[in-house]
Amino acid sequence: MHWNPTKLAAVTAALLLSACGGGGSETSTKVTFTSLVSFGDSLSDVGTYKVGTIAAVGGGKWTVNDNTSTASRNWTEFLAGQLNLSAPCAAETGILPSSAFVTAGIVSVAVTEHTSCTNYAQGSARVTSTFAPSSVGLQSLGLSTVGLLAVPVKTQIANHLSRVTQFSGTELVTVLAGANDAFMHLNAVSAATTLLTTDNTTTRTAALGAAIAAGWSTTMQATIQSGTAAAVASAAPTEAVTGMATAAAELAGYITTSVVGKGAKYVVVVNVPNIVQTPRGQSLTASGQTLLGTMVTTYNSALKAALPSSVVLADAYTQGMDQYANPTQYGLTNVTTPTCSATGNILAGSSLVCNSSNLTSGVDVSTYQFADDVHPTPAGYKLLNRFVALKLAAAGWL
Amino acid sequence: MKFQTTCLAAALLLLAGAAQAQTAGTWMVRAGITNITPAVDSGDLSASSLPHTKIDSNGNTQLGAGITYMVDDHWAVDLPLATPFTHNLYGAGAISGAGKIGETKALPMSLFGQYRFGEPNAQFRPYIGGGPTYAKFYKEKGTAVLTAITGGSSSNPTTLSLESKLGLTVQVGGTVTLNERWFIDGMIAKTFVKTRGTLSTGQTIDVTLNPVTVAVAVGYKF
Repeated sequence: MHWNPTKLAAVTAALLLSACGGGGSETSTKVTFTSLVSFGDSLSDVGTYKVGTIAAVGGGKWTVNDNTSTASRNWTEFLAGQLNLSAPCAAETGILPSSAFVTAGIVSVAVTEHTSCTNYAQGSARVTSTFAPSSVGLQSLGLSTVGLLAVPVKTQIANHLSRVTQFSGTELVTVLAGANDAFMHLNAVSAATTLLTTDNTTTRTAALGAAIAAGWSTTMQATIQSGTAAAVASAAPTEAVTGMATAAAELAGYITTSVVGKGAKYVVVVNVPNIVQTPRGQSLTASGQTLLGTMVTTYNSALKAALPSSVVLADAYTQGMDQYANPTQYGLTNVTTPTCSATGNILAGSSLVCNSSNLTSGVDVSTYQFADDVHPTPAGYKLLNRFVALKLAAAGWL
Repeated sequence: MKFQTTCLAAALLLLAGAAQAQTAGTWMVRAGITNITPAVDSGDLSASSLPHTKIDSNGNTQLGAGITYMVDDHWAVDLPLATPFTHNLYGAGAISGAGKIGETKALPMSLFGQYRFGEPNAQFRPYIGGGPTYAKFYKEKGTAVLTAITGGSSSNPTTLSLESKLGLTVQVGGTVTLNERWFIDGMIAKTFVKTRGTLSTGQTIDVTLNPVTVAVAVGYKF
């Protein structure tokens, strides 16, 4: 029996090395998805406006844009990376600024369809209405805007169906919309409430315009034209909350009829986060916050009630509030302050044109929740992605 | 391997003429099946994570074996053996329902001191034992679920590793004599061992495993 200590040591070491470290991973998912189809607003937009001036200044996504880093993503992009799918791209691009914005340096870029891209989400998009914040639609009401296309979700879905006729059944479809409906309603309430302090032709006209843009009833529009200021102000919040319930029912209807009803088998709907807990929400008066909170909860409840049972609903509202209450648990150090600075930002601090060149000094993008006053940093988007992924896993899809 | 085989053969030859009861100097070998089921008490995954993100694991059955040497008529030294176990890891707590998040190979290595009651030639000899167990974890593998819920991607998947740890095991068991050579051995053991899982994201989770082992084997006395 001849020992060879060196050989034995070598063999032992090899065995130990092969046994150590782990590091393996199974990357295939239970359901093999063939594509990711996204409908919604800025939270899911991967570059609808990444054209012309916006692209030239290093912007394009509604977060801290950092085109040198793959970490600069929104939640749909993180999700694609987990489903073995290529990075999503915008199904339509373009921007149509009004003349004042063109004069200010935002060049107009014609709308272009990208038929190989299936992310239809567009910043500012509402559920049904084309009268969205900063949208090209508002220009028809005589307003000057930067001209966001803001194609509503209803039309986004129709556009997809015009390309494919039917869902294949192997796509993962994501839907996240509703916040821009809330902002338009909130704007109309604000304009209506102004009559209590300043009631003249100008404020009445503004209130009527805001009501039309929000989509308020003709009865309410008549009240704004001829009712007392008190009557207008007291009826406005109810119009706003009712409008949110209507939008939610409409979205659920589109999903039922035109998504699930057209063959989509894997659909995840993310509800509206608690906008009150964004920097913009926090800047509102106490009564404004209460109203906004009611609008969001009304919307989310109506959405939940009307969605088909086969759809996975990710409750980003509740999850976001937990992150707001326990930031450290989620690796966050700041859930109240935007990282994007208005200085050096051609859109007054909007994350659409925010990148490492115009951040507020001293912020750590990787531990801040917010890029601007409503949109998350990539770190915030990753938290949303992880939460949605957990829901997909629980559904047995991952 | 060749060394071990030769050694064992030599030992068997030497021992072939020894007493057939469980008397001092008796060697016994056994083979059968062994099941290990962890009784997981999971800590929480460290930030950034959902509060109370925990894991669970399931049991696994493998071929088992063992070698026992009677030091005297009552005291024995026992070396249990088994083929490596594969344990699935599941989401629990806040991620309950997420399904399988990973798996690991486990090879527990134990050496027991045992006290065997009754006479060496008794039909049934219960015993108690205890000793150290080294739980070796290797070939840990994460799933697409683990990658997704930790924000990784398929090109940069989240992986995990479990620290191999030393623990303590206590056991109770018994042998039933079939004839002068053959017997049946059954035992149940509880191991007290903790480990720490580390993800490639840098997050950690402390887990008390404390598995219960059940083994049944057919043995042969020399």
